[in-house]
Amino acid sequence: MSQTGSSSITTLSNPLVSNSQTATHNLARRKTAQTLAFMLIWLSGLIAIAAVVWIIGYVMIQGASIVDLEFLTTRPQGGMDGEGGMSTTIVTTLYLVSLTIAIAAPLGIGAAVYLVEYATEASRESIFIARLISLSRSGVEILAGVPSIIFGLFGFALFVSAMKLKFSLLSAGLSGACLILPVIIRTSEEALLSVPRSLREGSLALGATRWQTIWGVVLPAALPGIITGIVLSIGRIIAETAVFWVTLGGSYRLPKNLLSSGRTMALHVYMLASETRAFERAMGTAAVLIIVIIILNLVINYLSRRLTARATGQR
Amino acid sequence: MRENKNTPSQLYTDAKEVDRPFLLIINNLLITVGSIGLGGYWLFQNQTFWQKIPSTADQFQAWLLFILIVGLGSTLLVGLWKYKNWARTGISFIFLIGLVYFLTNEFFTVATAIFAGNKALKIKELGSIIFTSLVHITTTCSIPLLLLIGLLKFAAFFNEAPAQRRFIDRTVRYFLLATALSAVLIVFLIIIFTISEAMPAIEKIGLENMLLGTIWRPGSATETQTLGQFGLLPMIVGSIYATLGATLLGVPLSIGAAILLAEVAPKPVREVVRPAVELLAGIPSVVYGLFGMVVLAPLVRNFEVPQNTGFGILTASIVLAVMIIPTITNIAEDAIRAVPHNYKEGSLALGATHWQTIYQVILPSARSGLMAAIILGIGRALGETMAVIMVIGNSIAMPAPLDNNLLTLVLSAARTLTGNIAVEINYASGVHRSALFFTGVLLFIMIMSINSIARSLMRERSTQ
Amino acid sequence: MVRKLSVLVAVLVSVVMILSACAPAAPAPEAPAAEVSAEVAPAAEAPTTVVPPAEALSGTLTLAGSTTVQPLAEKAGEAFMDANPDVTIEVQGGGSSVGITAAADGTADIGNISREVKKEELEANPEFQVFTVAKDGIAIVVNPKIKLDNLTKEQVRDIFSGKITNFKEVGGPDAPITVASREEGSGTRSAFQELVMQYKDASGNKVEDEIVATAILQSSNGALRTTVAETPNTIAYLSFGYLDDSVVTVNIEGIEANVENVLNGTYPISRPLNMITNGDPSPLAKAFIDFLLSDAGQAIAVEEGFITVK
Repeated sequence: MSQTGSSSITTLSNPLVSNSQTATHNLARRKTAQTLAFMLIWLSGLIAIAAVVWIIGYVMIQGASIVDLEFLTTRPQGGMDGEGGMSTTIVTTLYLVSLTIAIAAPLGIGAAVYLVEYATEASRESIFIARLISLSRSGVEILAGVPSIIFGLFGFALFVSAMKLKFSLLSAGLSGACLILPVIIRTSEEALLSVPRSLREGSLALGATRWQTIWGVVLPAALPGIITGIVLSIGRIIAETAVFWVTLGGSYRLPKNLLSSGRTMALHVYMLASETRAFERAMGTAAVLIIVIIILNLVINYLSRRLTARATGQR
Repeated sequence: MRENKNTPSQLYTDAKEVDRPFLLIINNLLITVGSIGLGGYWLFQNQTFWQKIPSTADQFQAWLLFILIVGLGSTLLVGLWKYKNWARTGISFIFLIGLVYFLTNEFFTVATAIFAGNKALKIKELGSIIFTSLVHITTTCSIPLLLLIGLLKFAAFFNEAPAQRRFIDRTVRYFLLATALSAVLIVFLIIIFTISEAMPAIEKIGLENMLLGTIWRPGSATETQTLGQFGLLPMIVGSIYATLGATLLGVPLSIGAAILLAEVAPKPVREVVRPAVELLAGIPSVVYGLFGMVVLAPLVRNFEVPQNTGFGILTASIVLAVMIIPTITNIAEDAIRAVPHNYKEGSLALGATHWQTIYQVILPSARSGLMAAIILGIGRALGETMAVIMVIGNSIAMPAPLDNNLLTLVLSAARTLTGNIAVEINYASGVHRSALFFTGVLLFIMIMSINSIARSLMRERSTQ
Repeated sequence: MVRKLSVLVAVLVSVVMILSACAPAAPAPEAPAAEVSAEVAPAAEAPTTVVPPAEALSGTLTLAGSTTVQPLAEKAGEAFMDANPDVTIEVQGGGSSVGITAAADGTADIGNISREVKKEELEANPEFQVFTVAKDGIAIVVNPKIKLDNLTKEQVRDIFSGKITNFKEVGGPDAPITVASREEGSGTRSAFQELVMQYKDASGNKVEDEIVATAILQSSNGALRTTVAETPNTIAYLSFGYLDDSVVTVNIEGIEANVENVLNGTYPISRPLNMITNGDPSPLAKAFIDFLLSDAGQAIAVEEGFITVK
């Protein structure tokens, strides 16, 4: 790598060696090249901002005409034009998020705790466990890269068909938990790693066992980071469609228990758009969806700012 | 009266009660009678329980059984509670689970009452529903909840003996190891299940037919030909074209934005652009698809090209390009920032302009990181499902130019591998379904290889 | 002393709470809530005649399958639920093939299909019971900007198989034809293929022309209708129940596409709307199907644009 760098520097050093006229001539050309290039760079930044503003603005404006209290509290009526509101979809999304987090958070945080606190020592003790642990780390990385439709297929094959759970909150929750597990593990690992060693050492010095230290000292200290991870996964679940399209079914009624089917907000947008073509209502639902996600983003920002404040000394 | 349980001698205070058996018996009798009373009260509230028991003779037996269970159970519980810490933990845990179950039930009921109706409820009705359920929760949960809280505050809860603490410490690590292995387990299960579901397709249709066949008509099974045709090549080509288009449109934009954020923009501009890019990442894919359907497709339809429906590879490429901007920009920006400062300073000192520095020094140094970013973006574009199926037209034909007009290729409808799965999985059965799982396996392999290339590139960068 | 008493009472109440929480905790809270929701649910809006409420029916009935039957099932379901408040009817779409598989493996109580059950399907599921709840015609529709009066069945076949590629070849304006169709699992598509795309060739063998590969596929009648309405130069087939002003129907062999012509048999493209159960239908399913076959149910079918069975 440094070779490439130095060769570039070598070629650049030439203008100084050549006579001043060539240097200024080159300079003018180089400056125009820079202006041109920078214009393009600013343009790309502008395009990115324009894209965000256009998409979100259009959806919000179109949706604002449809979203009112009645839209939010009436349930979808079905029918050919997608009449009705979106109340049941909001509640179903809430159910699904709680279920997914309830399943994935203990697993993910437990896994992160093990990988951070116990793994190094355990791998020294036994080669078998060392292999298991490295397998586990690669597993997390692989899971993080799997496209969501594969989770949907997997959930369909395992939970809906093989375990006969049919299209239900439960199978969707389990599939969604698989989806967000790597996110939770990664963010919790980072949060746990950022807890300073002195905290752990102090607690152990006071006579606490390792588990007491983790439970009473390390986890509370890492809590903001862990919560950031959980909020991130909540955002992912709310925005996710492909997985739930295949495992949740499409019924627009309110799920009565864990084994009934339902429709999340994102799924409702998809179905309104592609099956009934009721675009105004789809925009309305999409607008609510975007507002929820913006709120979540703000929460994440607030949490991560609080986290860095802690880490840099405002503790 | 708070007894300090932390001195060793007082750990055994509870044992004193065994010396006074009479008191113990009275204690337990009171508990038994009291719990029977309260239990009867509760059971009377649940009328349906009694409706299931038809005759009075059976009812009498039921009562006896009930008294027996409650009596024995409460004695056991009291004894355990006072003498064993793990029992206390367990009982509180069971109690809490019961509370959670009950509250969840209550929430489901309230939600059904409010939201399942046809119209929006008026404020008064809403209020009455919530009020009823709050009253219900209070009468059933609050007293035990308060008692439990009070108990946990006043009773020295975690004063276990050192042996207990060591036991917990030793067992917790295996429990946590199990959770750590859950990720591996899931990957394992995914691989096993998708491959086993895909096997019938590989056996009956054959890898060649699926990978190289150009016709996808699963339903064309007739009396003469028992198997439909499952050629995946149009979908593979469709995926490649859409991803290629997304890359061509999205990579320059993202790299430009990354350079902007890392090198060119002053701080106030950065504070605007970076949240914008992050917001792009947060928009759900269906909203992208909806936007593409409603806004982009009619725009693309304006091109005067035969068979242009507005739904096709171009629209899909535009949507995908916008979707992968945040992915690439994030990593590319990190890669550019990671280039050592002295490279930049040396170049500038030698008289190069800022752009020359960026173009000739910084970007080449950050090359592996940039490649990783681009490759991850490609992976994201390949794996995207919902946004694509809403704008790409989902036709089963191989995307091909019409009358040698290359523009028609760009505007033709197509179907991606992900779209194939999403559109047909709901009604596919038998070999058809198996073929869809094979599509999934194919997708899995493609994206895994792309991701591992990206990962190795990123690792190479970090070890420099 | 205080502590011991509190231990006592807490344990006692917790035992009792757990026991009663395991016992049907649901009916008690559901009783007040169910009354409230019964008051809240509005009276039936559909202009049906009085629906005779059956004896206390309760439970959940799931239907899945054809998107053509879906609005009929949903509207009838609403009316049925108003008459029987303890019943919940859930209707899902997915296409007629979903109806077959859902009925076969029990994912749904009733499978909706918008065509006849195929021979292979009956062989694979000998327990199937088929109930025809309505009849439906399939119209050929074009984008309103296309002026096309009449097509013969052969012309329709050649258009959809890609042999005819411009409207001017069949008496319309000079515009290249874009074909739109339902997805493969659709009963409407199967019925269309059987009725139009299949024919006997010169030697009397049954042949079926494939719908052209470049056709735009949509997964519901509603989406198909919007595609025809919004995309220029498009032609598609659509269930009668979905016809409205946004698309224009084409006469087939001189016969207009409307309900009377299906009833008197002159319009050639029509199919039954069926509901399938695997084995004998449950009492709830039977009640619902009977409701659909009753006068009130058939009135709903007519209102949705379908044709009665009687």
